Amino acid sequence: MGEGRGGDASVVMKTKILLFAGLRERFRNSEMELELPEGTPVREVFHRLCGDKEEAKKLVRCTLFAINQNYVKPETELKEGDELALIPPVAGG
Amino acid sequence: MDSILLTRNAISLAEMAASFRGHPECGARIWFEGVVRNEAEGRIVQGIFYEAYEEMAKQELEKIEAEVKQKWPVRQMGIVHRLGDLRVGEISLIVVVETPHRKEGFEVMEYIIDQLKKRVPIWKKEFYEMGKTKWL
Repeated sequence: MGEGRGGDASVVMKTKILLFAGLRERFRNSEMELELPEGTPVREVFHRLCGDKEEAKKLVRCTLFAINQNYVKPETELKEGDELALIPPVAGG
Repeated sequence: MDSILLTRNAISLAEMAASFRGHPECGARIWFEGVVRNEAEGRIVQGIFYEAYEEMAKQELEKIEAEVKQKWPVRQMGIVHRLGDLRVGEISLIVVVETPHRKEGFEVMEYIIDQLKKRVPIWKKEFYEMGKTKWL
């Protein structure tokens, strides 16, 4: 189970999603839990969150992803227990 | 002083400087303040709200600190970022670095601020006249 690419897509896992700034306001939530097939790439989360495909694509392009507080690539696959943060363009300073 | 801190309280260079103990090998101590400005791209700014993914922001700042200490002879440094609602003229960021000589100190300061703006998960929402706002 969960070995290699793709994981076991028949296994459903609960993933905690953290949202910030403009994304937090867009989805009216700073935290949600999604049930996703194991091995779901992080970028797919937007397709679950948005009804509109064009909006999902646009959000994937301008968002960075972090799992357990480390940046990951959009194609990184989610595992059980991962905490995924959706990070809009940062603007500290 | 804490070397890395995110805080909702007002921050003050004078206060930080008062508790800063210099390193005897350092001939340069550089301070930087980031201040809320009253305009952005021609619009009048009334204030800025800062938000952070705090645990990760601290961790990214610690990574930047580690990179800096590996690349340059930095003996001491500190980064303090304010969060929450700030008015024009308030200080959002204070960075201090201590190095043996000024040249590397200025390089380090620029590197820290560039990296902070590029990868540390902190966001700001600007407030303009007529109740208009924008996430940057």
